[in-house]
Amino acid sequence: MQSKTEADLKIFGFIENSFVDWDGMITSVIFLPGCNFRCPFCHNHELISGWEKLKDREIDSSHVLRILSDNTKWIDGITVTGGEPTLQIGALVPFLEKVKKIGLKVKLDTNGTNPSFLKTLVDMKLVDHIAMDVKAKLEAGAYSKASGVDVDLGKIKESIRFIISSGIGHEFRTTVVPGLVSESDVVGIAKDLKGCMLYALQKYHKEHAWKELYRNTEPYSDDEMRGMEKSASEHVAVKLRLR
Amino acid sequence: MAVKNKKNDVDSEDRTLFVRTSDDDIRSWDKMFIVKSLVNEVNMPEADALKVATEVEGFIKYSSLKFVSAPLVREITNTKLLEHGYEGYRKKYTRLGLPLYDMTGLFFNSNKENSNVHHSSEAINLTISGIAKKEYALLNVFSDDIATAYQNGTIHLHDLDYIDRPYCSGNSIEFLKKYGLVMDGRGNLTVAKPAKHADVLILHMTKFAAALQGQFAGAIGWDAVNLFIAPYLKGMDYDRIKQLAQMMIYEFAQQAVSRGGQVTFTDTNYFWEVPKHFADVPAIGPGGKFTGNNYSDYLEEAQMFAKAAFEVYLKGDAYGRPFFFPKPDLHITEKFFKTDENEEFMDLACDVASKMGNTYFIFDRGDDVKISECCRLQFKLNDSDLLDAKSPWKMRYSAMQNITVNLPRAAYCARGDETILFEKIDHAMELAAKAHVQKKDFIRRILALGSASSLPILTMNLDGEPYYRFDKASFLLGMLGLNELVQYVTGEEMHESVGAYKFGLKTIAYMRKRAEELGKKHNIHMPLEQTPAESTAYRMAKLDMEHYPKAAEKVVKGTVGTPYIYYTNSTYFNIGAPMSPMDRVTREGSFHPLIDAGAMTHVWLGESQPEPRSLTNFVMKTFKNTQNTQIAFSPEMTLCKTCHNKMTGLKDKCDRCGDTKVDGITRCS
Repeated sequence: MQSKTEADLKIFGFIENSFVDWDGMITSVIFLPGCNFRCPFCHNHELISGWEKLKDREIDSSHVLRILSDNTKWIDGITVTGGEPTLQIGALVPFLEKVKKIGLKVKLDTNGTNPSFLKTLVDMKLVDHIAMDVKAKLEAGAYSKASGVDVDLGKIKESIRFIISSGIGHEFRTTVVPGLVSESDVVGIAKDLKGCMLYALQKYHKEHAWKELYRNTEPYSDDEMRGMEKSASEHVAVKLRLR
Repeated sequence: MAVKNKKNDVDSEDRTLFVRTSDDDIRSWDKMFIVKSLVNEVNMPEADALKVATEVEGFIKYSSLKFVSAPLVREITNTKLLEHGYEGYRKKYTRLGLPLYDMTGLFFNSNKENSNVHHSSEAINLTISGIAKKEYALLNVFSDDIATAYQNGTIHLHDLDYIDRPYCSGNSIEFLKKYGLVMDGRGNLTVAKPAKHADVLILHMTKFAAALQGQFAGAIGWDAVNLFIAPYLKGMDYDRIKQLAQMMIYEFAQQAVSRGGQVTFTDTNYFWEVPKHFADVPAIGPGGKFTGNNYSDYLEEAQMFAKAAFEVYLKGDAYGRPFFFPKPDLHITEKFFKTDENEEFMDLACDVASKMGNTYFIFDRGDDVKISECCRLQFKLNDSDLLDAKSPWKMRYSAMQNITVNLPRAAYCARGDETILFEKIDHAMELAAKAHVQKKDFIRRILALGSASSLPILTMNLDGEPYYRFDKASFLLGMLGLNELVQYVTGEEMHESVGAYKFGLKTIAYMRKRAEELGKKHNIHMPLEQTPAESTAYRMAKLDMEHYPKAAEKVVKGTVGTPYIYYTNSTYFNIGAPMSPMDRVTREGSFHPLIDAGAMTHVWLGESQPEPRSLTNFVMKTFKNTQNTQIAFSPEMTLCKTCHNKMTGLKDKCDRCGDTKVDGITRCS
């Protein structure tokens, strides 16, 4: 993994300013392609399957680094999302070292399948905040259905435990997709996350879902979401995101 | 007109002609009434008038009508005047108003023109009066060259339907605290002494605002509301103060009693700090008496009121909908950052901005002091105005009129030639300055009638000068479609290249310099303003597509071939341009120092509901990193008309009850 440089990092999307990714921060967002999940409701599915064909969307990492260093008056940090960013750990490490040199904070979005890479990034002080998706209740059947692949649930649980004990800022989040996550699942997840800083419940939006079934799946209403927020709040600090 | 008296030489009873007069009478025919009216109204020599009247009489007799109406007699007279080549007389003799067909339409089709007017009997009155006043303005207030320039779309004269009122106003609660509530200068209406209690003061303010709305075309703004109410709040607990803030907002938001059944267009200015110019000013308290303290002693109460008001905005109305009025304008001065808990308050204001969109953030950098009105208008206070701050009841400012220059038109007429372009802009600005002087003279004539004038609040004199401080009035010069002008001349929109952007800056810098020179020449203060130009943007684009189709179709925005075409507002960049918020506030903001009477940047949030503290971060950085003078955020939301559910984003049906009767809310200016 030391053989790669930041120039090897594949970046397939860049947003200069985001107010929605990290509370209190203005971040730039980079999208890294490729994922080891196949969540049927995924909103970024063009980065998951067949992304190699989207060559014209590729952005040079040196270009991104230049924009970041030009905008330090505005930008507090960078949100690294995907896809699953840890799949590019080899190039990600030197890239984040450059980002750190510019003086920016780093937030990493992950699905938690690579706990050892998370540990590496934390040990190297290359991340300041981790947001991990919890796709479904922590049972093999439910998790595999939601993520579209066979999941090693042990890795997921290991990531959760590591993140909670890591001492860095973090949040877990569940997109509440009807048919994949029920209200009682949400409460179960909240219990499993005991001790975490924040659990975000995100309303599902069907418009950009990958698989047709999920483009036709009506989301829970705002009121139902508020009900889940209330139940989960008995176990952890909950934040509701209706958008 | 009244026509009466004796039949002429026709003796048969059934040949007698009767006239339905304008003063509700039926009288028999007498052509001398035409003669008299021509002599009186248009100064026609009596002999000529008699000749015309005789011909009118012949025509009517020949028509064998039994009844004629006064309007018909006038129409026929006008035709005869035209036949004789008396166009000057005809123009002055004309009637104003609307056809029967249109009037029927007013009753049975609802008004869709102004988003703030809801269809009602009062709204119909507003439309009818507006038609007559606008026609009057174009015939009799402005000279022909101005009327033509308006009608062909070279310039836009705003609010012609309120030609007999100044445009908008900035007011001071101190006036009410000192003099009580006096509704006009004639003493005919009930007079209230200065309020002794906070709730009464708030009622004085809302009632006075509604009354003022009848004498101004546009917004009624109130300066430093939380600070000036503060002396009345001494000793109250937070719950009571919040109740008062809530009462004030509901009173303003629900009084749909202004002209046309509209809600009064009100702005309320807030400060978290006690701004420098009010800090050492003696405070007026209950009963209109000086409290013996300065305003700097009321910081705590002022902050409690500000916090309470923004909490009310965050909650929205009974259904959780945002309040559209009164608009909250939050000023940020350098002192803001040195005032305790500024970040917590900013988080609250940003939470309101993110969820409801209400908050306007106004940046008063350095020694700038501003009062905000309307969509973006700001009165920048000069040194003599700042002397007024010592006696803040005097702080009453106004813009007399607002005129917008159609910039793309200038570019088309110049065929892209830069020298000619600036000559064309110059020409339009000359016309605007002339139109301002004409409106000024017209309002001066009205105000000169004193307490007998049709603007009796503005003429009332309680503090040694009339309420309306005529000599302090500004005359606004707005611009529309800078982006399209630049695109036509350089081939690129302002966001597309540095060259295009710089050409935009150069154009506005030129306009600013010329506005100053023209103002001096005509003895008026004529600052630039970004005009609130939603309907103007459509009107001008439509006119240009009619008259300059080949040029206009290259740059006009919207869908060519449909009615949905427009120009980009004022100095804005293309709304759809792929610009980050920081890029937009920076580059749009670089125009703002040139636009003294108010400019702003809208940051569209779309469907995303940002973290309030991230917005706080952004607002603070916009203050520090840019020259931008005002920003607002525009979230999108959808309200269900059936079950009153509120959803984020624009939706076509309710996610609670499934009904498709929903209202999408987003800002249109």
